[in-house]
Amino acid sequence: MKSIINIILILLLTFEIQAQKVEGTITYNRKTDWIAIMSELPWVTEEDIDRRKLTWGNDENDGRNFDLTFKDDKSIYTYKEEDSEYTYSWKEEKYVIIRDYNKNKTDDLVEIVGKQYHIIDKIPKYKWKILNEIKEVAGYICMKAETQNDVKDQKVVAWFTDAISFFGGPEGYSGLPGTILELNLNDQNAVITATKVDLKTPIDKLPIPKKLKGKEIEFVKFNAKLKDFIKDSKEGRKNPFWRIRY
Amino acid sequence: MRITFLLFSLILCFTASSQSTNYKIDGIIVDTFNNPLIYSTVLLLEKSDSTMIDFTRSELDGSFRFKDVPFGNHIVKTTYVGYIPLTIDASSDKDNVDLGSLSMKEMASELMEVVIKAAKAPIKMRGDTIEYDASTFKVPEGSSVEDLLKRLPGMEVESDGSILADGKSVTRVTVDGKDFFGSDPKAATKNLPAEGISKVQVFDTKTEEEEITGATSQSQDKTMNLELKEEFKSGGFGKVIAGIGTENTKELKGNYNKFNKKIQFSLVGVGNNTGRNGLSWDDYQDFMGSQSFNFSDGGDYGFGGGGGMYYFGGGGSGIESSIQSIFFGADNSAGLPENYNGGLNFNYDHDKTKVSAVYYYNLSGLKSEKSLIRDKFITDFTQNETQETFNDDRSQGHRVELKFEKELDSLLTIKTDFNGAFIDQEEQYTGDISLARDGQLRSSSDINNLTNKTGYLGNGLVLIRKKFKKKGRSMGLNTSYLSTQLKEDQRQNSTINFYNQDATIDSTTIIERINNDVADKNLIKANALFVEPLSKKFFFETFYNFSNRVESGERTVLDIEDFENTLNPFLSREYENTLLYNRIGSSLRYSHNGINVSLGLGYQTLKLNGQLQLIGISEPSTTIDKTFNNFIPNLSINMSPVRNSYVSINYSRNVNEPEITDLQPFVDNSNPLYIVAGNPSLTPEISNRIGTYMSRSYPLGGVRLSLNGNITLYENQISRNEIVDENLITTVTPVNIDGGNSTRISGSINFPIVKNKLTARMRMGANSLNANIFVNGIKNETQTIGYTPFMKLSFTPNDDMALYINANYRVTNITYDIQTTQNQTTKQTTLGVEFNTKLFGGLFFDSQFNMNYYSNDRFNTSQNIPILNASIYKQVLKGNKGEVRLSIYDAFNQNQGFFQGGSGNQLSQSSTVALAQYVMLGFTYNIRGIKSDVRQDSWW
Repeated sequence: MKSIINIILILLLTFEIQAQKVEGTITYNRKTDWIAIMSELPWVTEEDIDRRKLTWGNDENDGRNFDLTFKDDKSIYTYKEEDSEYTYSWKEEKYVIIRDYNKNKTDDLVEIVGKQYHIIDKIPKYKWKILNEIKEVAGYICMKAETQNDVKDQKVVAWFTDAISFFGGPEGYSGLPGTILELNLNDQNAVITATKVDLKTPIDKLPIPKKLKGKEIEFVKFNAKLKDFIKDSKEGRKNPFWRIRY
Repeated sequence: MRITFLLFSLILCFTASSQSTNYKIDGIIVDTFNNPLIYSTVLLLEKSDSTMIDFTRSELDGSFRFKDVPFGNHIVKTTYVGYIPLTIDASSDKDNVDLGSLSMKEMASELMEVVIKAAKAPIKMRGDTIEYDASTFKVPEGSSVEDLLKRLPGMEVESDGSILADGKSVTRVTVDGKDFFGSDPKAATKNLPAEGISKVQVFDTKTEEEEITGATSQSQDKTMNLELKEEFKSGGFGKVIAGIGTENTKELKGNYNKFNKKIQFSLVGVGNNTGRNGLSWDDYQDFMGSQSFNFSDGGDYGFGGGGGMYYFGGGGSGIESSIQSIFFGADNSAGLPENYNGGLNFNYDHDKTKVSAVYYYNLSGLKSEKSLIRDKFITDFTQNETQETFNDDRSQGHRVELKFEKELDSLLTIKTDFNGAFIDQEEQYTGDISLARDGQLRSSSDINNLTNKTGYLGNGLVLIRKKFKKKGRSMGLNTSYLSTQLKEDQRQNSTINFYNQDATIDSTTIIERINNDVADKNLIKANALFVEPLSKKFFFETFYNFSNRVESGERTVLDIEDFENTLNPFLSREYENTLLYNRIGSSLRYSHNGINVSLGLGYQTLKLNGQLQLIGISEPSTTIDKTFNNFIPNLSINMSPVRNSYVSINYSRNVNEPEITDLQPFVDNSNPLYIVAGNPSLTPEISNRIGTYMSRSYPLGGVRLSLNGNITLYENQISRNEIVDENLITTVTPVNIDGGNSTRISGSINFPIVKNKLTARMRMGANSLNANIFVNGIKNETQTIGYTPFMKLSFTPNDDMALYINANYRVTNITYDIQTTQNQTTKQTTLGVEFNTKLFGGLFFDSQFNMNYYSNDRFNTSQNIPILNASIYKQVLKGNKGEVRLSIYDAFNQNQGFFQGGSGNQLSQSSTVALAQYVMLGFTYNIRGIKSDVRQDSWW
């Protein structure tokens, strides 16, 4: 009897949330601090770290912009298309994160060490801790939450706002009562922060690519591959994050 | 997402209905006036670690409910925009929990507006305590921390400087968690600059016991911690390496660096008489800091000039070389060297302004005693040359480099550079040279030269970089002025004996001369580049280069006879040469998704003007006036067709103008055995170069392949016409010859045999060179074909041992079309073994063994030179800051500076007296500590 009531409750609540669906585009800027990442490698000496800081520490890093577009509890997170300031183009590795929160389904296209994988699976769950800190990101008051990425051995700090009732975020992180507007991976090693939140321009259709070409895989296997690669690289004294996204 | 949580609770609910281990949490969220807060977020957290279990939103009446919560310790946390988040215990092990009305306090507006919104500072709540980041609070420059505190909400500063936080007095101030000058809180707040502070934290002062137990403080006192900004934390590192050894060998090297975000200061100094332990990449980076690498905007623009690629300065030689060349000058393995050099560098980088100043001094000496044999093939005979020479050279230089760069606004940057140099050199040369014709002695020379050279350089550059609102549109403009002067005084003493067929002296020529040279060079350059994006993928680039080079000088030659100097009218001269260069070019570039294609065409004009006037003879001056116009096409393709692959194809056409001195019809017979004459009909040499590069890597398997090939075809290659007479007197004239070319191909593969333990690298290279020269009027084509297979094995079984084995084989076949009997093969085989291991008791052992085997079928010689260097070392001192090292160099005492080579119509072999076996005891002190590592450096 109780379960029936629960099901009804679920339906009611779901309906309620459906009623206040938001849609929009959030632009994030992703910056990676290579010196900090390199500093964590076990074989790198203090002197090497200082030398890198001395040589490259003052260099400006514009980062790379990404767009998170969401509508009807579905979202896509990928590179923002921008005009180049340079007349030289580098090939960017494929990175398209597609989430359907209603169907609890991923449709990601991720490239690691030169291979493209199409990850069709359930949306990964993170064990979030909610911390007593608030700050403003892109005009929104955000709360701090923390989780651990065991595959890449990263402490993930997410700043989310409950003012946007879309429960997703950048880089495939989700599961908080609001939208994640900033991510800090291992403190400042990589910072993904929202620079623009646009909830006014209606989204006609999510810009999902027609074809997601890659080897179909599930998270368990994909993560095992990542872990193996990171372990092998470190054993061979190579920075694994030259080849995979930090 | 919501759904999954509910499904999750649904599952819990099923278990609940059978076991009844769940409870319900109810509550109503209201503000301080008891009005419900609608749609506020309510989180259900694990009490132990704040892990989120569920979340919901409050209803229209402010109420919320968590159903089916498993019994245990939980907290409920409520948040609402503009209110301080509230946390309340909601644990239960048997009953439902009704939290009743939860009243949320509005955040102080100053906290909200000032701290969060305006200063963008995160705030942290610990119960009622609020902590925030003060880094973005604006205070006037020169303000103290006290001034900053006065502006912070909740903080009060009394007239006597004592501080109150939330009404409680601050009795202790720490900086980065450490006590600042004892415990007087005023000392820190009054003295520290506000701009250096990143964070202000205020918390209740805890007793030792409270720190350990974590018990809540009963204290009425507060502690304030000031966190310093990263740029106010300075890093400093440095090391000294000193060594003393047998054979009177000494080495000393030291460097020190101090830096923070704004300022970098470094010192380096080196002194040694081993030719080893010079300066490395690391030393260069430590010294130059953020100025180590610069964007390629200092130079001349050309095809592909718009790409933002790093370049590494250097270039130029003699007085025009740069400080970099001191760091990357070749190690001396021949002769007896002595080196002393050092400098200091200062870089400032703040607020879009960069300033850099470097001074460098170097003093070096090289004594070398060399024996050389050289065979030169003339149409119907061979000239055999033997040399026994001794050089004693000493040079010193002072160099200064100043740079200033300022970003005037986000679109406009201005940069100025100034370089200055002063050099002073002394060269002493004595030599015995004999020339034989097919083994029969024709002449022998006894030479004694003493040369003094001084020179200075001044070089200034101004550069403007402009970007435009339209992304991708950019412009670069620069102009520079270079002025150098070199003065050379040489005293030349030679005695030349010419021999008859029967080996008796036929005649003797004695030359005693003083040569005085003054050479000035003034170079003005101006360059412009404009890049216009045609679409997202296409760019149109246009560049223009202008340069005007004026070289003028005077050479006076005095012949000394019977202690009297007379001007030599045939060798003394004045000259002024001008080279005016204009080049304009455009290219169309496609750049998208890792594919870059550029197709361009340029047009250049070279105007040469030379004036030569002999001194002491009333002869009219000789004038050369020539203009050369050429089209220069260019093609470049770079792409990665598939991931982890790279392909590039480049074609370029270069025009190299002849030296003006080569054009002047002037005969220089200052060396009576080697007479040089100019050629007024010389035209520029044109080279067409096609280069390709391909690489592919498989990172998962650790495999990497690469293929590299390039071919250069010359038109009107500037070569020589040599006329060698009966007495082996050579007269050389530069001439243009078609048909020369050079080709180089190589391929390499890296692959693991055992992952991360045993890796192999193999490379195969081949090169071919076709060179033409005229010898006694007959065109001689020399073809040189070389093969260079190489293999290396790296064995790194664990962190305590590493073994590297490499083998290198170089075989060169040289064929001469006018004298096929002189065709020859030279071979060089190198076997290298490096073995490093950790021994017992903290001792480490390093060793490098190299076996070089040389053979040559023409000279019928073979040489076997094994060189072994080994050292044993141990870390000492606290923090492993010291290292003691005992080394032996060239354990078999075999180093003899051996060299063999062949080119054109000649081949040679030489050996130089060099520092061989010695034992050295060294000590290193490194502020940052030493990490002993048996492995070779690799990129990470």
